Amino acid sequence: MRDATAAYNEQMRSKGVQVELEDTATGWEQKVLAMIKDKSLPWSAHGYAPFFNQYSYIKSGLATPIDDWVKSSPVPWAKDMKSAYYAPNIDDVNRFEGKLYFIPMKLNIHLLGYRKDYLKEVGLQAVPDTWDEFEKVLGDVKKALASKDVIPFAMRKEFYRTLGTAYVTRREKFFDDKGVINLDTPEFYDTINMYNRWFKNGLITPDSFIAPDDISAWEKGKIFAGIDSHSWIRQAKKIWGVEAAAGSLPPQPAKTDKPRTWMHVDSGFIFPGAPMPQEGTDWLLSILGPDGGPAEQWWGKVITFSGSPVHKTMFDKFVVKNQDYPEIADSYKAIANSPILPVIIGSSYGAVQTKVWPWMEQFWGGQISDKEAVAGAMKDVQEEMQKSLLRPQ
Amino acid sequence: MLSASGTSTGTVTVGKSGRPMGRRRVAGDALMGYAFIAPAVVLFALFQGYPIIRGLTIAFSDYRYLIPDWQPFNGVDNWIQMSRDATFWAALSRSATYTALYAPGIIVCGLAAAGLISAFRGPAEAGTYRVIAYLPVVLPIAVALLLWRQLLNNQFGYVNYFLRNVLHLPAAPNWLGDAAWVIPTLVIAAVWKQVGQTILLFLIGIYGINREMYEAAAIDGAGPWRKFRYITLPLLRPTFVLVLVLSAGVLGTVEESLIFFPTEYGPRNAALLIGRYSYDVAFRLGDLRWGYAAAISLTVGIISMLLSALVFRTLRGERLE
Repeated sequence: MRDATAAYNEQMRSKGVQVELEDTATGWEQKVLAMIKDKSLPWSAHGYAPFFNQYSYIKSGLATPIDDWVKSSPVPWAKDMKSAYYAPNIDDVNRFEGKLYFIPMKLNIHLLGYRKDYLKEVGLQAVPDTWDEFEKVLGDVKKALASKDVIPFAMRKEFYRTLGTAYVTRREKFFDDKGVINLDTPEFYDTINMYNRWFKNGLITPDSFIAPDDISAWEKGKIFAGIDSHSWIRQAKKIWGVEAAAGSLPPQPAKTDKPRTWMHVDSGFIFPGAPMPQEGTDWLLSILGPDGGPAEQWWGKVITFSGSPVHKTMFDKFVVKNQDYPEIADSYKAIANSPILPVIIGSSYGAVQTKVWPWMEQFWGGQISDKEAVAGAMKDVQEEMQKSLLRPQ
Repeated sequence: MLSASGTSTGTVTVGKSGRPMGRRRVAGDALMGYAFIAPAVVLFALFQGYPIIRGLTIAFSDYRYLIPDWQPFNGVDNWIQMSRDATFWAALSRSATYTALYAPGIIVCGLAAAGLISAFRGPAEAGTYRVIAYLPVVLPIAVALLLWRQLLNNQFGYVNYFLRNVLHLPAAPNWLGDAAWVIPTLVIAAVWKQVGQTILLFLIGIYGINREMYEAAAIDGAGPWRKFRYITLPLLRPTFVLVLVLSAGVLGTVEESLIFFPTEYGPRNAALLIGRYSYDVAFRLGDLRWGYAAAISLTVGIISMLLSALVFRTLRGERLE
């Protein structure tokens, strides 16, 4: 964002507009909320709202609608934002209750990341397309690499990566209008029972339960594959090389030309009561736009830290020809078929992340049945959401 | 007028004004005393007193940080909610287990190490071991616990490597991956981190015991265990009281859970202690319910105070006149 802003400032020098970028401090949300209340806010915009925080940012008063400023922006793209996106559904998730709040700064597509060199040891060049075939491959990998203590599959200890992504491949609409995830579906039972079978067959072990902040087992080569954000693959390529690690869309329930995966959009936004909201909006529209020098600075680098471009132009420019990460280009075919998570999902995000996993652990550990696990998880999620006054009514 | 010993002799000298000069001097001394303690009182009031009062008012409100201008007084609603909150009771139970393991652990390890160090007569030797014992205490807690987290990694940690490959144990504990081992593991790390303080406290107590008592016991034929049992332990009673009172305070500990499991609560929430629950309610979950979190913290504080009072009542013994 610094390089993109520098390019923007260069462009805007003659117009007398300069953007000063400050690093975000820990716990900044509370400080900014206090400043908004006191009307003493020095900043106009923030470049990064993770999708799971967007709902609480709106409800707590950290993000403000930007329709008027987009309408009056001199940035050409602002006249017709929707047509510049790679797919129209990308535009939908920037809105909440009919108002535009966010300008997307990266698209996150969950992928299967795996060790290509390990796969070659079982005689394959690419992972198969379906879950059943993939399960067989995991069994073959387990046998072939037992001496190296390689665990076939890793599972993130939370909902939104491994578990949630596998669920999405089976069911497109898995949440209700209030953003509460529905686990009591045949597709979710299929998902957790598949993982339960993998657990019993040693394709997943407690050592491959990966904490959200620790991927050392993957980095040390003790895992064959996992489903995660692109950073999982990127980190492996950094350590093992682009020939040893690879990525693809996750397996699907059946062979299909309409594959699905988990997607969400992180975005920039404007603070309410900001000193210069129009200028802040123009800055976001410029550095996160579909063309121009500042936007090229941003989108050219976004795939190196996490995420992908949202515009067709930037996809063509930076993704299609990218030799290091061909899996990103391939993943775009799933955009049209996949639910890009809307803002309202954030209302249940915290509850789902903390309450679902412990129940699944008990099920996979053999302490309870799948029905008990799902019922317990849904009850806990609902109870947790009831505690929030900000929940959708 | 003060005598040479510093005690008042009761003489009153009348000054020019006709008023007793002693009273003016006493009043002047009192003002001087207040002036000296004023900075400490002001600092206490600002950084301890005000936060305590503010914390109490928050505990009796439904203060939700994410909702602007929302701090309604709600009486005892937070405690009613707490009574029905299964997560609160589960976390409190885990914290009680943690404290029940921590207290004897730190006493046994502290006393054993202090006993060994006190056997060194040479000041240089004893001083060296005291410094070594205290080093973990001065290590920043995040560094210490992250170190332990690496050491205890089930696949790559040195501890399990040693247990499996050197001692050839058939199975090493999955310290942070097995729910049954999580709390003992947090206790081990916490005891290692804090035992230096306990060692010094016990050493102060041991060094204060008159050596002649041990010599007299030796003359009477007492061996090392009887000397320890009948001389050292009873005379260390005040130190035990102090260590146990300090241990009661770990009921609300949060660092171990937060550093070992920064983004989750361990296998089957085994690391969700009450301090961690209060922290997450205040700063991570939902509306950031400061009111409820403050009520939890107040409750834990009261329980710790009651435990301390119990320790005093049970172990303090008779005052020596």
